[in-house]
Order: sequence, then structure tokens, then C-alpha cells
Amino acid sequence: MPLIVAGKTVQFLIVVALLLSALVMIPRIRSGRHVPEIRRLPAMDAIDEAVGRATEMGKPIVYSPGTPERIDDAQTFASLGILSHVAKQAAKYDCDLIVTCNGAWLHPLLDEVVRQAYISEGKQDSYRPDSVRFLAENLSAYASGVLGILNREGAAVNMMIGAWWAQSLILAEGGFHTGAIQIGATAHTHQIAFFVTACDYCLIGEEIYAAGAYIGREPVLVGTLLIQDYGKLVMAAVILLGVILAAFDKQQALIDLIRK
Amino acid sequence: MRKEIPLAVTFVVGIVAVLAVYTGQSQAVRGMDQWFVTSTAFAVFLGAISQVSHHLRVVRNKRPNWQYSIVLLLALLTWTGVGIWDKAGGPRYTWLFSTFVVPLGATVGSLLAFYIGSAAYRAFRARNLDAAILLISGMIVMLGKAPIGEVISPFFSTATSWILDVPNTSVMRAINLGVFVGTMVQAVKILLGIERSHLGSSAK
Repeated sequence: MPLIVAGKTVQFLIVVALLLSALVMIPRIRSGRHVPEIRRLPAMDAIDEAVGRATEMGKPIVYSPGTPERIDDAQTFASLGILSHVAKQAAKYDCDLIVTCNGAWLHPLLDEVVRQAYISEGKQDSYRPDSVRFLAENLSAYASGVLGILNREGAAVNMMIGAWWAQSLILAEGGFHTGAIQIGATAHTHQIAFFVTACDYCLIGEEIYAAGAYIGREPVLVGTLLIQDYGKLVMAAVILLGVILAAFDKQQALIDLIRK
Repeated sequence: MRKEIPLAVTFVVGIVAVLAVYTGQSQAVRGMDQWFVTSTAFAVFLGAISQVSHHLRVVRNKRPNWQYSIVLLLALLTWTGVGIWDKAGGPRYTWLFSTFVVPLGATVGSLLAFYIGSAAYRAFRARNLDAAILLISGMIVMLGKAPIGEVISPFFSTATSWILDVPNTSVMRAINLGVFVGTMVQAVKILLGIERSHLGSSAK
């Protein structure tokens, strides 16, 4: 019996290669070598500006972390990192923050992230337990709940960052009509177009994963972007090899290798 | 220990899940799925408590639109009561579902038609070269997908296929490849405890 399931050998090797490259590179990054420059992400720069605007207007920031089905969605974890930063800024400037939640399982995580952010800013007394609001598991009910909050509370900022599905346009366009500054981010390609159209600032695709590193500028997190870039380089090389082999009608060997 | 124990649990569960998937030991993953279902059941109570306490506070303080909170609390109580009494799938529960949830959901869903219209109106304005390209390709695709396009000229159908199959698909694939690598690296970061914002702190 083979050790690795047939058809998953290459996938497994990619996972092992990523783990090994992380283990090799992290000590080098910690020692100050290989810390890359990170290009500007206007959507992330806009967060501080948006919090300032909400503070001046005395209106709340509404943060929605997407509608993930399960806890294993990587975008949700990326969103939690951004939420932590937003909550710290909100705590620092005594700005009202409302975090909406569509999964009951997500509520304790969001609550903890926001609470810790307030504690880290020394503003634990300003933390309100009803900042994080579980609205509904049903997606339509959740979307109408967020629209209700945006309209009733007169949100100054509407942030939609995470794993979004069909509700993305309802929230983004509904938020646009309230006049709030809108920041959207998702790695779901079919929803990106809606955010690009309806939001003032948008993180496209993989940028959501770089946001955590961009905010904190922690060398280790910034350094992991190198692994991401090397991974893309390898993919580009494989695609180029595929194109060359296809030109000579010899691509089958590569396809068979990838499918192993 | 507040941080170390969750990180250790994440590492062990993550490694077991990865090995289980690639070595065909799917029963281990199914076992962890059961834990997820069980913990989610407890989280439902937390969610309900959060919702009830927020809306009770709204009613008690007579905040603006507090009447809606009474409606929500009554709906929550009714649903819970009927769910316990009739069980999910029973005739009364089904009646409530098909009479309230389905039409309300359809109403919210139908907003999309109007929102797509208003978003497209803003996006399809030729303010610069990029927007003009978007406008022209959007018009070609719309005409290519509508029966009238074929009547006007077969060009629209051919051009639509080319736009969707070549530039559109290649860009989507490029974004997806980036997302794929980003997701894998994010998973590695969580597994190794580099990314720990979900615990309320940054990397160390």
C-alpha cells in the first residue's frame, strides 16, 4: 500500500516544501537578513484614515469578517489579523466599533480578538461586549442585519474583509448608498468584481494574506511573504515549462507528473 | 500558557489533519469534524446569548428603533419554542419556514438585481481608458449573451467567447494561483504559530 494517496503526491510535496522553506527562512529573517520591502497597499493605508474619519464624525465603524462556512477558511484568519488592528485603532481613538458575525462559532473568536485589542491599548473599560454581534447563520438574514446596522447606526466606515459569497454585493452596494467609506477584501474571485466596483478601497485576491504583515511590519510575517513570492515563481516556471512542452506536443509527461 | 496551549493544539491537530488527508486516513479527519460539530453546538448558545443580551439592552434603554428588537426577540422565542416542540422538519416548523424565511430570503436576494444595476451604472462610465475598455467589453459580452446580439451580428457571440475564454479566464487563473499559494502559506503560518492574531496577539 503506497504511503501517500495516489494523485496527491505532488500536493503533499508542495506542503512539505512550504513547511521546510518556512523553517529554513524564519531563522534567517529573525537574524535581520531577507526581510523584503513591501509595496504599498492603499486599502491598508486607508484603514487608519477611515478610523480617523469615523472618530471625527462620531459615528461607528462596521466590520464584517465575511460569511465563512467553517473555521478552516484561511481568509477568516487573515481577517482576524486586520480586525485586531482596526480594534486597536478604534480603542486608541475611542471610536465606536461594531463587528458583525454570521457564524455562532466565529463569535467567541471575534470577541476575544476585539477584547484583547482593547486590553493591549489599555482601554479595557471602553470595551463593550455587544460590540461583536451575532446576527444570523442564514446568509440573507445576515445581509439584511448588516444593512440594518449600516443604516440605523449611520456607519462612517464599512469594512468587509474575509471569505465572501453572494452577499458581498448586497453589503457593498448597500454600504455605498449610506455614504460610508468602504474597504473590501476577499480572495473569492467571483466576488472581487463587486468589491472593486462598490468599494473605495479593495484588497484583491492574495493581498488579503499580506495585510497582516503589512499592518504590523513584523519581520517574521513580512518575511513569510517571500515564501509566497517564491511559491508563485515556481508556479510561473511550471506554467512556462508547460507552454514550451505544449508547443512541441510533449506536455503529457508533465501532466502525468503533476497528477501523481 | 494562555497562548502556548492553543498553539500546541493547533499544531498537533493541523499536522494530524494534513497527514490524514495525504495518507488516506480519512476517519481521523471525520473524527475532528465531529469535534467541530460538537463545539459549534455550544457556540450556538453563545451566539444566542449575545443576540438576546444586545437586544434586551436596546429595549431596556429605549434606543432608536427599539420596537424592532422586540420583534426579533419574539421571533427568536417562537422559533426556538416551535423547534423544540415540533422538531425541525415538523409541519408547524415547516410552515413557519416556508411562510417567513423563504419569502424574506427571496426579498433580500432580489435586492441583488437592483444593486447589480446601480453598481454597473457606476462602473460602466468611460472616465478613463481602463473604464472605457471595461464598458466596451461589458457591452459586447451582454450583447453576446442576449438573443438580440446574435440577430444583430454573429461577431458578438464570437467576441464574447473570446473575451470570456482568453483574457477573463487567464486573469481569473492568475488571481487564483496567487490565492492558492497565499492560502497554503497562511496555513503554514498558522500551523507553525507565526500567525497568531486569532489569539489576540501578533507574531513573535
